[in-house]
Amino acid sequence: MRYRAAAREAYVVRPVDDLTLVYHRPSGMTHVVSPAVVAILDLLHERTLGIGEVCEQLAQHHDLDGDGDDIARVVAARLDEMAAMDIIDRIV
Amino acid sequence: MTDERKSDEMELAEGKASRRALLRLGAVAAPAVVTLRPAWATGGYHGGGGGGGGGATTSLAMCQIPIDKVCDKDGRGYDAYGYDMDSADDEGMVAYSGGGYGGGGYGGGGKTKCYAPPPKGYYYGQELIDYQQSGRLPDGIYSTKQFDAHLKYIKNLKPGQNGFTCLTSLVHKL
Repeated sequence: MRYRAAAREAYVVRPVDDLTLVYHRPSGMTHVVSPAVVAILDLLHERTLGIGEVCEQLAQHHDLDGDGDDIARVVAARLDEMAAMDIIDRIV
Repeated sequence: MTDERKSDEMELAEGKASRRALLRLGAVAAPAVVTLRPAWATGGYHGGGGGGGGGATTSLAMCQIPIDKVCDKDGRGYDAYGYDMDSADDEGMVAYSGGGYGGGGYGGGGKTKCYAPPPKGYYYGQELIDYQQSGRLPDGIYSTKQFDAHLKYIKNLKPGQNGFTCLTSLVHKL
């Protein structure tokens, strides 16, 4: 499974203190997201990546903390959430 | 001197390390997303108002589109009262008494029948997705004409009307 961000005009990203608001235009829904979601969304902008590639690229610039869980599984969970928000697409 | 140099190198290394920000990904079971819905959105998100992103898809599919007007075959709604659901004919049409045309400026007072709303008064988003995928009419709807009238009404929803946000969320899924 690979992932790619939705078209840039489909959502609006606005940082507010430590959190970020993502407004999804097609649904009219606003999501409060963590910095991890923003970092993953940035990676997938106009790029299609698998879970492993997302992990590698995140690790190039960050020390990753998965609260004790396996990093790939945590990233997969975040990707599932983002796909549910429709801000990223699953590419089969 | 050697110790000083070592110390400088260590500081340099620490400086490099500190530029690598810590990114907290959260845990597998801890949602990283809280979804807010607009105040004017229709009620009925059964997934819970502050539900995490993991439930977002379910929540959207459980949103409701009320059909609180009786619609003609073109999906136009107007205030009508006095209709009796039990009297619906094979096409899902009911007779009603009383006027109260709320919109459209049509009718001329001669209309005596119109399509009944769904028995529960609304459709779940999921019912529309199911219809799109399988062609199965929602529960309590036995007439394609009646359902077509409701679909036309739904397609004509405008921002601010009950059900519009639900519809826009579905458009992305249909």
